[in-house]
Amino acid sequence: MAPKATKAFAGEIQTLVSKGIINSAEDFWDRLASDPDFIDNTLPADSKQRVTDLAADIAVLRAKRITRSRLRDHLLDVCVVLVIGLVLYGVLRDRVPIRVFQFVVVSKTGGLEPFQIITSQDVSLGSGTPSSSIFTSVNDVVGRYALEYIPSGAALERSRASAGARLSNELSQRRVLRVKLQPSTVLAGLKLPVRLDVLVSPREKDLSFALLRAVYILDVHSEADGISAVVAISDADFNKLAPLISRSDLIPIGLEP
Amino acid sequence: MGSLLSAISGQFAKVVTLGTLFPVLIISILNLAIVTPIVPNSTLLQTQLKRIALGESTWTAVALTIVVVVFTGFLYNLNIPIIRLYEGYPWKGSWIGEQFVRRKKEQLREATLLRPSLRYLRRYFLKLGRTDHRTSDLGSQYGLLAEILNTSLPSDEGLLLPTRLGNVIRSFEHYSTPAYGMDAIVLWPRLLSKIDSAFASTIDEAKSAFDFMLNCSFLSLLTALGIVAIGLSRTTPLAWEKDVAWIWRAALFALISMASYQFSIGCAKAWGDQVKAAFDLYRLDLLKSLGYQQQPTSYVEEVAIWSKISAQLLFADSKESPLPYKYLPTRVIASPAGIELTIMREFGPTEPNGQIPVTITIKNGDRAQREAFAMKLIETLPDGFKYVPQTARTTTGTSRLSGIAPLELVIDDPLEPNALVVVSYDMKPPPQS
Repeated sequence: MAPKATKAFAGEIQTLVSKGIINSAEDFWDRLASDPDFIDNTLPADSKQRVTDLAADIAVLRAKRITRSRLRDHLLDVCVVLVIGLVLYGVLRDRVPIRVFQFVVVSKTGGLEPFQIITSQDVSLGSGTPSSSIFTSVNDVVGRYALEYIPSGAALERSRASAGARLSNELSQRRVLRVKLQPSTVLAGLKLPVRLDVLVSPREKDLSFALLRAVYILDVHSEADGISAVVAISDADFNKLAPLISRSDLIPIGLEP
Repeated sequence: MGSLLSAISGQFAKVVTLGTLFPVLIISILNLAIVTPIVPNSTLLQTQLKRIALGESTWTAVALTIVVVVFTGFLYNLNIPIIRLYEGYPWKGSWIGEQFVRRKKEQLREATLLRPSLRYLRRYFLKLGRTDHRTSDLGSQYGLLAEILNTSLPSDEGLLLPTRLGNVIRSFEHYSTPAYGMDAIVLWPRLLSKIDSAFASTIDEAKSAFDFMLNCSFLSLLTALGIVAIGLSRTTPLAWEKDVAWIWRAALFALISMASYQFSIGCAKAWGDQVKAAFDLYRLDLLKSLGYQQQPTSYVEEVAIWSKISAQLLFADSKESPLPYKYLPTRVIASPAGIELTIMREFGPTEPNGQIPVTITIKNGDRAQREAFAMKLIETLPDGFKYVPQTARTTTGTSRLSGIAPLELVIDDPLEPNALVVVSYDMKPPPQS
């Protein structure tokens, strides 16, 4: 009714303006509000009923914009919808399979130390927003190691764990240390960890060569003067390497079979 | 208007218990039941609460009671700042506040314009004998608009505040001005001395109900904000289920806060009705207590008296034409209320027939340059003297006698600013025995 009445009223106002009875719609309302005899004395007899009917409709509509509260009017509706929603939730919550995204979080107290093999006791499953960069299965994680410290409660992201072969207790009797390797194509394209031999090549004539067998390369970073690598070596190899390390080049020479 | 917002009956314990202690207890219980599980170190807290419940830890219970009492006292003393915060005083100058006030101004203008329009249209329809839905709609909307204009919006645009609650309170704070010409800020503290204790208690009860709702709203809002702070301070990325735990709690308390605020508006109207009633019932007692012997006979006269008294009390150093403590023998009641008229009465020499001519000059000296209309001259003749019939005249020509004792003369013609009207009549002395 509102647009129809508004349109019809605008037409009547236009007619009254064209007859010079009023100046505008605002003038109509101002005069109606200020002059009790405006209807009787000013409006033409032929259109008086039409104009007053339409003015009454418009005035009531405008008044309702002030007097009506949508919230108050629809409070019961909102309550009913809320109750129905709660009932539906209560009925359906155990019947509808809910897809929950689960991912691996660190549960070990104190967090994961870098280059320590992860066991099934170190991690658990949490749930939340899906993400492809996070491990979703505990089995996928066991046997890998963290490349950096990961605090307890944090999600285990793929980029923060080793990507290659999984280990069990291979590192348990070994020392983990960072060394500088000579640039080599041997490591290109390999997923760490890998096991290879490393030739210790002395830069001084009075020293002899040494060969470190079955060295685990755990992490590598290219630098300007070579490759910085985290390696795990046995105690025997460590004793062999210690006197030479500052006066030798370390060259990765091949994969262990 | 701080004093109007304060308790007045002196029943401190009752007011504090209903208005402040109960909200503190209710929201505390809700906090313990709903919020405790997400608070850091909640296990320790829950263990302590369990011990209190089992009666194992008396000292903790005492400490908890002290906390509640101290918090209640703190909240009670913050009552007026909290009300003013909800009214919108501290933030009405902000961008948001100004937008809210602008909307309220539009609403006030629209309601003020529509109210008489609805009335005249309805009157016209009734005159035609129409009883259709339009007539009833016009009547109901007229009534609702009148109610809003009288209880939810102040009469002046300059008094508008950003919130509904603020405007409801403003509306009754300024009720006495349009109703009686009384300045509530000046006269409320004085009126308190006249309000009897039973009525003061009913005002305080209404105020306590309002305080209860507003304090519930305020405490719920604080709780909701606290829950949001706890939720956002957690370092648990991607843990949606843990976020839900604080989000629904915050939403619940926000909802309680909003609902309590809505209820507080209704309570504020009820409280306002009591305050208005205090002005209605005790204002004439106050007039007497202030030392004035006048007994106004009309709305216009009363408004003129209270306007004058309010100005005198507000500006005690102003001695310009102070209100006399009792009616002068000659006075004029005129509209608009409070218009400044100067009156001069002169007695002529006794004529041979024994009559004494009286001349009264009324000058419109209104500084606001308003026109005086509906003037009524009230003249008290000296003891024993009597008015001589058919002798009353005015220079404007049209006047009529409406009373003899005291002499009342209605002057129909309006009096322009700075213009004069001279009224004359004859009186005769009492016969000598």
